[in-house]
Amino acid sequence: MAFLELRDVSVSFSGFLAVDQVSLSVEKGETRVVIGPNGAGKTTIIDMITGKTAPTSGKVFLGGADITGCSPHEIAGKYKVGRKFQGPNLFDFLSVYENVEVALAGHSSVLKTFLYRKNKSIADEIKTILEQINLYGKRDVISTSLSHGERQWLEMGMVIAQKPQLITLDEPTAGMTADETYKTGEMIKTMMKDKTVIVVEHDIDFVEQIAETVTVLHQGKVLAEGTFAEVKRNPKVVQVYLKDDDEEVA
Amino acid sequence: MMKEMKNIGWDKYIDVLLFAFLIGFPLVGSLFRVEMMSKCIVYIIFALSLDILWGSAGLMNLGQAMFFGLGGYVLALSYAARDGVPAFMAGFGVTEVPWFMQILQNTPLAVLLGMVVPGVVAGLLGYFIFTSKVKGVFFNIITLSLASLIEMFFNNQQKYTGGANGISGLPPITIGSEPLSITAHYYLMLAVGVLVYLFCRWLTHSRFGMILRSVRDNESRLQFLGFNPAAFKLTIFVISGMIAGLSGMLYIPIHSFISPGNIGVAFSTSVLVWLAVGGRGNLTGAMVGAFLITWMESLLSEQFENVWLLLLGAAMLAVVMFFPKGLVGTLLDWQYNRKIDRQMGLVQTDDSVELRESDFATAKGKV
Repeated sequence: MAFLELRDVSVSFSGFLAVDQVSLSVEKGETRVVIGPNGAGKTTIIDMITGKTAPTSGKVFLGGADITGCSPHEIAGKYKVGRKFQGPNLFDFLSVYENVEVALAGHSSVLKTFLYRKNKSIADEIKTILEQINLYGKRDVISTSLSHGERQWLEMGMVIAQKPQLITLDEPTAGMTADETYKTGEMIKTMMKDKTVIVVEHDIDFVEQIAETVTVLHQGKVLAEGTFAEVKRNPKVVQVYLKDDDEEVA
Repeated sequence: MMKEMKNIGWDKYIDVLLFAFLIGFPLVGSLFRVEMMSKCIVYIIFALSLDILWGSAGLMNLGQAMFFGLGGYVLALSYAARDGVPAFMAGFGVTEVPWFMQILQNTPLAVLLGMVVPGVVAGLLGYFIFTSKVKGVFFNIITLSLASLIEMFFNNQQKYTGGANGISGLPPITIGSEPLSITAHYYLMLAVGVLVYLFCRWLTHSRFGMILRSVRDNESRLQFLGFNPAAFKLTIFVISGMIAGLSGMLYIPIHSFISPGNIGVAFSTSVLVWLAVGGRGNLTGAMVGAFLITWMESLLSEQFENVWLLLLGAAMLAVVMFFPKGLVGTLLDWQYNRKIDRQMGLVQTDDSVELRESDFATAKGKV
């Protein structure tokens, strides 16, 4: 069994079939990019992996364990799945530093938060993460005062602080400039190189920069799967996705 | 040294000043004023109990007085039953001390129960409210109706609670056979007040406090970091209820009287106003708010017998309109902004100048 497996999962929202019998397997250490036009069910896939939405039918397995229908905090805490949301989702009135500190792995039960002491190794760990996301200089700023791109990076830093075994990134470059997007791609490659990562993306250049394997979704179904080059040549993909959505790339 | 001084949040200075003033107060104040100030200290503790809930976790409990009243009634019943069946019960033909009051006849146990009972009630309520994912305005409505319900209950159980008349003639604290003097009472309240303040300060500055602020800011995000927000909300609800119960108990020996007015909606609203005026989420605001309003109430009512309520209302409105984050909240915001501006300037020109992040901890994040 692969590290992450979705078996014939479907989700319907009051009659609308958002995801239709999708099966997906991701091996440990792989970086998988899921692409597809709007409404293809990309975010719903992430929702099922992270426990936000339970599949109407089908199963989700992580590292051999059945995590179908588990609560988000259980999946994040026990099964160590990190999630970066579409459009940064932070603690707005906490400082940059505190946002990362909150996310820190292994101190998440009520009792552990009482016993927690910030020692040197924890401080070093937070500092390293803040330096990787270029925000150490702004560590005391409350996160709502950051720019959009910086907020996206801060959330990536939080995901890293969680020490997850599976990272899910939902449009990590949404709203970024081309330069920021490129930097983000490099961040993912360096910070998450030995992790299993699932990325949902729109930006084709960015997909090419980071992808190992690409899964194309269309109307809730898997349309194609393969390397970026293979998918790009696939006539079905060209027809429904690349042509419609991104004329100049196709 | 100067730089370090500048970085200390002003809230700490205000706290120290306030407690220094309270310690010295009996030296200058008349006994009448000292007694009033004891009540003010009780209110400060009560305000702290709401601030760790509302200010930290964003849970605006519109019925905080139910915990205050429960603590107060437990101790009041204990005092009333000390010498057998109290007069207000005898009037209803009760000839034997009921079982729950027999337990309370043991004063140390009653003092313990004065915190445990509100804690257990908070735990039960919290369990149902938080696990059923009641949020936002629905939490407010539920707590408001509960306060009104419990007020009605204490009004109706005349046989055991004295009904609308309440329980009066409660004795001061005695040590040996001598009742404590007003000043001794005052210092006892103050000692408890300082302990509660230190506890709340530790609590809000711990990781637990930081997670509470995260619950307030973005509860759903927290789940995806492996936290169970309901457990944190339940824990702080219980702690807050117990501290409110403690303040309710302290109220008994100085006021010698408790009535459903201390357990219901009106008193719950008072504490909300103190926090609105002082500011939330930094402890200092709660204390300053409780202190200012209690004193303004007394002084204004002495000076302007007829219009004092109007004057007080106008003053509160002015604060809430011009300083929506409260007096202390506004001050800390201003200090935080200056600090960040300075830090940003420093970071660009000289990387070796380090400002400590812990110094900002108190200045941030007020709703």
